[in-house]
Amino acid sequence: MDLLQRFSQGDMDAFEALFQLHQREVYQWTICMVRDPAAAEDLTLETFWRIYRAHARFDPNRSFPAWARRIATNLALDYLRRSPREVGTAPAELDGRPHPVEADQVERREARGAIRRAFASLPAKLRAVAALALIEEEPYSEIAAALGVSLQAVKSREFRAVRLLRKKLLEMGIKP
Amino acid sequence: MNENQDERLRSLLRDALPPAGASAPGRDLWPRMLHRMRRPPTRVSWLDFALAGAAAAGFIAFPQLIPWVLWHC
Repeated sequence: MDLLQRFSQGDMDAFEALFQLHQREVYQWTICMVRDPAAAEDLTLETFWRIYRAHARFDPNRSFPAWARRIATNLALDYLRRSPREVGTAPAELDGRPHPVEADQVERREARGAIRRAFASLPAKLRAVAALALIEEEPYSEIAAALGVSLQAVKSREFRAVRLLRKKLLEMGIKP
Repeated sequence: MNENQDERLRSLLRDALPPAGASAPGRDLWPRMLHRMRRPPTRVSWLDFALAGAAAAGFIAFPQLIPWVLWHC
């Protein structure tokens, strides 16, 4: 009997094997959307917890990664709706070492901060699509499958996200 | 929106929010998963059931209360 069949019958070893095989992939997809390592870990666990509870409903002929990604996407969207509208800091700004302050650097840092604020202010659905399509450059087809919407809907959300971002950046004095 | 503007916005975004897709969890998450699975399920006390039953009975007996409750919740 194959792994997916054993999992659907509640085999714990099969679940552990699936967890080990796919935890990284689920985490990576989740962090692309939520951009916070601690939240991405929690949401990965919550995704597998739901998968574990729903094992009896899983059809072994279906794709396990696609199912897991769909659950992870829904959880990440819920998280984005609930969480305060902030996004992670760029790694270069986290090292804490003093740097010689130059006007150009200060200006760039301010611009990055403004862009992050504008991005964080997007509604959850648009923010998720913007993160996946514009930043991570994931294919539209994969975004559509994970969100459970059409390709056209993904393109439309991306267009709306870009328009809103442009408007917010202009309000902040940044010409995108 | 023309392609140049689109590309500039993408590069501004990617500069402020670098892609995170290649990152991995800091540790194996399986021990936390096991801990989660071994946690006893939350039990619902008889008092919760009694309260839910009383509320349902109240709404059946006095349906005019439903809009009032919805308004104040």
